[in-house]
Amino acid sequence: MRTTGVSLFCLLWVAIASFQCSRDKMDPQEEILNLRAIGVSATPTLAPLLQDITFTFYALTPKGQTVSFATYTDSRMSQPLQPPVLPTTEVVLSKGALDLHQISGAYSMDTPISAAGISADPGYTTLDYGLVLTTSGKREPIFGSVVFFNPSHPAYEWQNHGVSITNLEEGQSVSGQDLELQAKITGRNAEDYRIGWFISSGTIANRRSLLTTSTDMKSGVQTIVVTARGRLSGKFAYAMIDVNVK
Amino acid sequence: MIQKYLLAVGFMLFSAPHARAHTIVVLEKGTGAPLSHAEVKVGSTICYTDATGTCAITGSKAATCTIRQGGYATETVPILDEPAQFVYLIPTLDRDETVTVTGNPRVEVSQKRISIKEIKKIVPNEDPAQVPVYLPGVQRSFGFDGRWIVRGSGPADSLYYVDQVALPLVFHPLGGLVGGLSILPDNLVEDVNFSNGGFGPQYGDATGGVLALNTKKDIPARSVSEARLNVPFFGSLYHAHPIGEDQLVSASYRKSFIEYIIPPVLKKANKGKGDITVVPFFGDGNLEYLKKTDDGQYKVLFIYAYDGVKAAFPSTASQDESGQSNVDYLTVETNLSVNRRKTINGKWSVNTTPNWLQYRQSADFLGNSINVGVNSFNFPLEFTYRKDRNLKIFTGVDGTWSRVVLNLNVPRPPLNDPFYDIETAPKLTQAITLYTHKEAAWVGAEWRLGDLVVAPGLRGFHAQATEKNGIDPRLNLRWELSPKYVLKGAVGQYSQLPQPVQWDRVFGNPHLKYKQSIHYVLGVETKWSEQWETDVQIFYKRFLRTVEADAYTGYNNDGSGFSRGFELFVRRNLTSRLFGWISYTWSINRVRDFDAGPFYPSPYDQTHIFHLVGDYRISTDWSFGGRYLLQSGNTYTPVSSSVYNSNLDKYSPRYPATAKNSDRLPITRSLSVFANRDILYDRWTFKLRFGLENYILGQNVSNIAYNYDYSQTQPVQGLAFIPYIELRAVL
Repeated sequence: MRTTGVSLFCLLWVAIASFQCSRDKMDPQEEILNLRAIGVSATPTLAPLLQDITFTFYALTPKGQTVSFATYTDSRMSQPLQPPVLPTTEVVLSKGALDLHQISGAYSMDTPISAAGISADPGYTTLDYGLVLTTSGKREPIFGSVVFFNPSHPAYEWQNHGVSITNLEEGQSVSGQDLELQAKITGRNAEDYRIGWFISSGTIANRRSLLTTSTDMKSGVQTIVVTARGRLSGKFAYAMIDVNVK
Repeated sequence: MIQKYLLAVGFMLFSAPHARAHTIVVLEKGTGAPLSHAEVKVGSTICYTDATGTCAITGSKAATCTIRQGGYATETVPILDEPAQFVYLIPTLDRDETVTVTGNPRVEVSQKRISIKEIKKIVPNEDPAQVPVYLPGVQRSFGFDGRWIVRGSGPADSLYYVDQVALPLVFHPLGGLVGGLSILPDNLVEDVNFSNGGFGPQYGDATGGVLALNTKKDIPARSVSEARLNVPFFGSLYHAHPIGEDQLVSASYRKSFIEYIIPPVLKKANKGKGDITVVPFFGDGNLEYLKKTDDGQYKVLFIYAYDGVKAAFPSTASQDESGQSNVDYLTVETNLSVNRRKTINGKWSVNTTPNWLQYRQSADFLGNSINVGVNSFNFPLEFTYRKDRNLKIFTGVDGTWSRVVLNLNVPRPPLNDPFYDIETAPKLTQAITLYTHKEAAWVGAEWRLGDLVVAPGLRGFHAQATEKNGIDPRLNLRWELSPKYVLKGAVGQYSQLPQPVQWDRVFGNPHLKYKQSIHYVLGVETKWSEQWETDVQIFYKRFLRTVEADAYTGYNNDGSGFSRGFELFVRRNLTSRLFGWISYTWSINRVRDFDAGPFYPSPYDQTHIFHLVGDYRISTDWSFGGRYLLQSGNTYTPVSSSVYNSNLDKYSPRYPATAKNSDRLPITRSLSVFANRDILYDRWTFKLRFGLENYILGQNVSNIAYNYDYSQTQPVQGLAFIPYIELRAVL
């Protein structure tokens, strides 16, 4: 026990020290300088007895980049789904400074999951998926898990949540420094949400907080994106706006 | 003591009413301790002080008196028209060739025994427990773990004793901020024994080294009090009070201050970057009762220590939309021991220290929690049989019975899965109560055959946790070739129970065997002069049945490894002015995960470790000292690629399977310097110590940090040098 405790203590301190020491001089996660995956949604996510699940992979790029994609498996995957038959479909939503690539594909299961096959404790099971996206300058492997709940689990009835940016508004003219950003989650389920902010230029003080601040945004049209994923269900939502930075 | 002076004065006044009488009381400046046998000369009359420092002179008409005492500056003072005149003598430096002789330990090849007087001159915080870090074969562990890496063995592979009691928490983790700090005040420690390999059969369940801190065993002539203020880290109080000539009671208490300093500093430093709160704290307290008897001693020692930190900070690992992560950690250790040493007859003696330990630890971090409570009773019993001056036999038993309560909500191990992610790993919630015990019996001897001393030993042991028994044979040899040279060697087997989490039925593998190491040591001690000594050793250490992560059983015993190296220790023995040493270790540490696997550098592989430490006293009240360290950088495994984890909006690193620990951090070179000033008042001393701790020369790299997707790296700076000032009032 003594090793576990002291080592744990050290890990915590190293984590804090790393946070203090390491984040300033390297590219921040929130600033989109190249291809960047931001999340994955699955349809449907909760109903068992399906043989195919349609996933949509969301990725941001600076405007005008082309994204190609290929199947991806990872040794981390304990219960992998069969990868989709390519090609899948891609929709590009173009904003002022960023493109949002939405790549969809249907993954199949070797064996359909039945409700009886999901144990009551913990009340869910997971299957893993993967895809690799590529632009001319970056290769981005993606993996994750989709969660299937037992019908007796409260999450089985949950509907998709939503997220919106409440401060700022679409097309608003702003200063590039110390800009307060706020997002709101709608249709909440009984779970915590992990927030992710992305921005076409500048930095964000705390990209995991609904209320945060951006700085050093360049002048011109800039795009701000917020994502929210359920910590238990894995449900994913995003919102995206453009602002005019003076 | 004052009453004695008054009695003496009263006696002089009433016994010689018609003569001019002078009563001189001679005391040591800085302590007020009476000086006996001091020469007091008034005119042509000479007298010598008694045990109370008092002497009386009558009939002299001289105006001054001169007082002399070896080791003190001679004083000439005017004779005052007072019934009793107090004279304080200032201690002087002894001549430089005076050498302080250290003790006579048992025969152990790699043992270093250094007196407290020596240690306190050079270690951080004058903390005796820190000294092994500056000896050959030892390196400080990573981060804030105050324990050590010994000849390639990890921090948990060594034992840390206070008297006969092995304690899980001997160092305050936060003591790393000030160069290291143990839970015992330096006033309480009599001496330090440290062995970095080849130790005797009295120690078991360890494959690295042994630190033994021995607490005070002598009764001081007068009470001692001390108040200490270390700015900006902690303050402490200590008091020792003799009761008669055979008993001593002492108490100490220490508490950190940094919890009041760090939060506002962090708040100011991180203004606009998010809310950061870090509240580290620590403290300890001790009570000791010592009673000397005709046949030995009784000692009762109570130890209490705690360490903790509360932290909240913006983090990408935040589990909710606040964007904050929280850490709450607390460790509390309580130990009560009763020691009895007894000389049974001219040949037999016994030493036993039954003790009770309570150890509590709680940690809440990133939505996980660990609560551990340990209550254990330990009973070590040792007999010594001294047949004659050539043969001593030691034998003993050691039993520990423990109750362990675990409440866990943590990611399921193994923790060293290369693809492990603390956030995505499935949670394991358990409430476990374990009753476990382990026992050992051992026998050892020191047999002198002319100039050769042979010290064989055998230790048998059993652990209920794994239902495994074992026997470890050990042998130490010491051959005094001449008064100048001593050849020494050791070979021994050392077994250690895996960590509880590794043999636990839920988290680990209950079928694990003892992990082992085999030590081979060969060395030469050379006494070049009374002042200069060297100790050169070569060692080879095999690691067998090391515990490795296993995808199916949690853990297995398939690992192995070795450590080999060369150590040099050049020591300038303590004189009144100068003291110091040079220690250098060259070593190679390699491990592998399974028998047919490739060897790769261990996490503890540091090729070069060089220390230069010393202290020089330039006058009675000023001394200067310092420590220089040159050390190879730690090894680490570079990240080869990363994968976006869409569940968490974060990137997971991927490591090359064939390049474990293939990279190394830059060499560390650091310097610590300090000065001591003793200001002597008549009956107390004010001690001032100030300096810089851990000033890095060149690159200050403690780790490598990656950016969010592991495509960029930058060095993580270690702790900046810390200036400090320490004030002590001793009376």
